[in-house]
Amino acid sequence: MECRNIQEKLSEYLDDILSPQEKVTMDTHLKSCGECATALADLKKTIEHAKNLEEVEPPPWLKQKIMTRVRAKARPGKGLFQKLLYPLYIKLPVGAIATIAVALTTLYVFRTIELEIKLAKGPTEEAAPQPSSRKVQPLQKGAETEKALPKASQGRYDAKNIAPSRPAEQPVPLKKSEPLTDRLEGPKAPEPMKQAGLSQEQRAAAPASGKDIATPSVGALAKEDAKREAAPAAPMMKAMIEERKEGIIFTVYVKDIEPARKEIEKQISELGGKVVKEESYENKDILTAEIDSIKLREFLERVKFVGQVKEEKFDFESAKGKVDVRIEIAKQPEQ
Amino acid sequence: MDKNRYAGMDEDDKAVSRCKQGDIDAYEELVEKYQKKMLNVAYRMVGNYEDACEIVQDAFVSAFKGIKGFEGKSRFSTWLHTIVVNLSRNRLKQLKTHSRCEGLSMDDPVVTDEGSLSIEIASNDPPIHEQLEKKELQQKVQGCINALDEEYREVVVLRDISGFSYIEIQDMLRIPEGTVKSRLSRAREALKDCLKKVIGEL
Repeated sequence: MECRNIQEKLSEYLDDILSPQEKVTMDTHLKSCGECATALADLKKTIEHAKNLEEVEPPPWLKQKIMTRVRAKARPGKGLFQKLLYPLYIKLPVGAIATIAVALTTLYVFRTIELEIKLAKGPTEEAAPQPSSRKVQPLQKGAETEKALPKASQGRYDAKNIAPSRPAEQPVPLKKSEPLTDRLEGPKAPEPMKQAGLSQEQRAAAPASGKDIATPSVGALAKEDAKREAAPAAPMMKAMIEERKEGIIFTVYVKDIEPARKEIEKQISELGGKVVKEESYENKDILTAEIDSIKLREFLERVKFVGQVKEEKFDFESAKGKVDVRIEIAKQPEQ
Repeated sequence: MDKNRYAGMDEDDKAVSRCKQGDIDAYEELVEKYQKKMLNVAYRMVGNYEDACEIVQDAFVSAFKGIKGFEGKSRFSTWLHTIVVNLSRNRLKQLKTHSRCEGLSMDDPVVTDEGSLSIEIASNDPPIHEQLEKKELQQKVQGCINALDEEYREVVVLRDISGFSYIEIQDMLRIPEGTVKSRLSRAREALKDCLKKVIGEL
């Protein structure tokens, strides 16, 4: 065997993985060849050098660092969440998008409310005289008139009455709080109605006079009011929206309110309607009911048996489906 | 060395099966047990302590991720070594692309953690301090290992430093037995030549 072949096998010879036959051959050669023996010795020393390399010590934080990462991996939910939210380049856009979303939602809500107000204001222009004429009824009660007046003005028609009278009488700052506005304007608002409600004969003229005062200002200020009232007049808005829903309004004059109301309630349920709301005032009850438009005429006929009906203009033909009916049951005025 | 490796075998199997059931403390035991060994393999492979620490972290994390798929055909420690060797290889490739190792030959100055060593003819001056001499020698040996080709380095580290058998190396590196033998032989020869140049008398 040549030295080159022998030296190629030295590594395996040292690791003792040669076949017994090869080993004998190697041994024989190494005894006689000084060059190969030196090569073997050098190789042995080289391996010793490698083996003698001192081990390095791991830094004390290594295990802790490994385990922190391992634990983060072990909780994939939390890990993912942290990954998504931790870096600023993700956190910032998420925050920005959330802010924009909140802003858009707020804007949307405000626009919706504004639309509701406009819708509520729309019919008000036509219906402007109605509340005043209705309002007049309780005022007929002589001695009770003074008491009833402020009370009624705090009721749901307040909203409408204040709106037209405000610009006409005094430019009250609109930012003022609701109760203050009420106190300031409450007694003033019904002025035109007071005049109107003086006598039975004058009653007919009441709507007209009310209209004269109310209509122009309402018309001119409807838009502006819608804008300005959005913020400070939440209860007012509520009243307006309710008003809009009513399809028909009429007043029944009866001798006794209590039994008459029960009778009307009975009629409503007999006609398949239902009472939505009951309000009781000093000298009148107000029923709000839902009645099928087809049954409306019949209902009106039946109510005429209960008392003297004063009905508002209502287009029976245009009504479809359920109609909101508002019935005011008032005491028969003494002649 | 071999004795030590066989001794812990059953314990490792138990710890591994506990890990598979989500016991993280069991994994911590394995980390505690093997971190030093892994660090040394990585350190000898890449020749840089910080890089080695990072490799060991990555290796333990990826071993944890893959532990459910570990079938126990080989020992856990062998499997872990394979991961460390592969990560070290990747790191060396990265370093190569950064041209730190480019064009390195045995005659070039040897770059080690502690600084640059140039090849010098063995000096006859007596050593100032024995420890200093030992440290210097260690640096030179490491320098020569770093100067080896990547595939030579692997086999030298696994066989002569970590003490794995030919069969184990064959499994880890997925190369035939004959290749392990010839590669190791050439690697040792190359290391010998380098050491002769660096320290003179072996």
